[in-house]
Amino acid sequence: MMFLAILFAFSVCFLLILIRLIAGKTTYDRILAANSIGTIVVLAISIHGFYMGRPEFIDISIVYALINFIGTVAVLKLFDKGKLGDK
Amino acid sequence: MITEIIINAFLVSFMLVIALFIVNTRKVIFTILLAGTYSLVAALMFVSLDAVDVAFTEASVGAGISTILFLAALSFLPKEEVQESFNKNNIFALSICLLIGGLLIWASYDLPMVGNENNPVHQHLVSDFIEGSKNHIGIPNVVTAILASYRGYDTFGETIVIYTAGLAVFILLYNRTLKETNKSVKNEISKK
Repeated sequence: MMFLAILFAFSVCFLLILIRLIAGKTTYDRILAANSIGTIVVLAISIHGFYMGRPEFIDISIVYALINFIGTVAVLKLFDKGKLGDK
Repeated sequence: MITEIIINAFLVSFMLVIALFIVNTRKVIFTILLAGTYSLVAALMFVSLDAVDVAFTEASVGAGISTILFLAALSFLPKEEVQESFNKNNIFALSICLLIGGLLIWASYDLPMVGNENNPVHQHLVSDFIEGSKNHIGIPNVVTAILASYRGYDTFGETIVIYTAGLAVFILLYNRTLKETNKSVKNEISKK
């Protein structure tokens, strides 16, 4: 029951962040919102595993966290340098 | 069961909202951000449907690689999308889309129910795979046994195709960079 309540709380957070992602004022708002959605998804996968009684798949949330970080770094690098890559 | 349906419906409605905003946004960078978010939510739904391997692929390819590839392509593109005017050919295309989609939905009523254990897909080979794979091959994971042994030639062919494609792309790019560096070296020599 506790896990279900946590999942519900995550969905409320998700909704709030989604509003920020869609109606964000600046670009940085939206980047931060996309990053936060990634974090919420990572947490939700972990909690969902415990809720379904199969917490073996927590490794996936680690992969998600890494991918989320790489994506955010790529977006920010594009904004900083105007291009990706060396040339 | 009910909670699973509620969770999946929640995720699908999120995906629908994000997809609508992907269609509406005119700035390319926001489209890319929203698409990455979309595939993260899709991966979460795959986890809740117990398709963990698909979720893994969706997260690494959909949210990771394709977002970065789109961003790399974006640096060569104009930052804003041009607003297209609505022309009448689109109505024809839309009607064809609706017609074919309707036909496919109509045809889907003849399919067996999802998850029914008497479906032919669960009766034909799957029981043999589940019962026999450990004795035939000795691999405890059924999916690995199917991919690496029962469908081994298939997987081998796929790997060769992907390897050849990667090699071809590498050769093309390598020749181009080689020519460019040769040109620049010749230019420098002729300047001297």
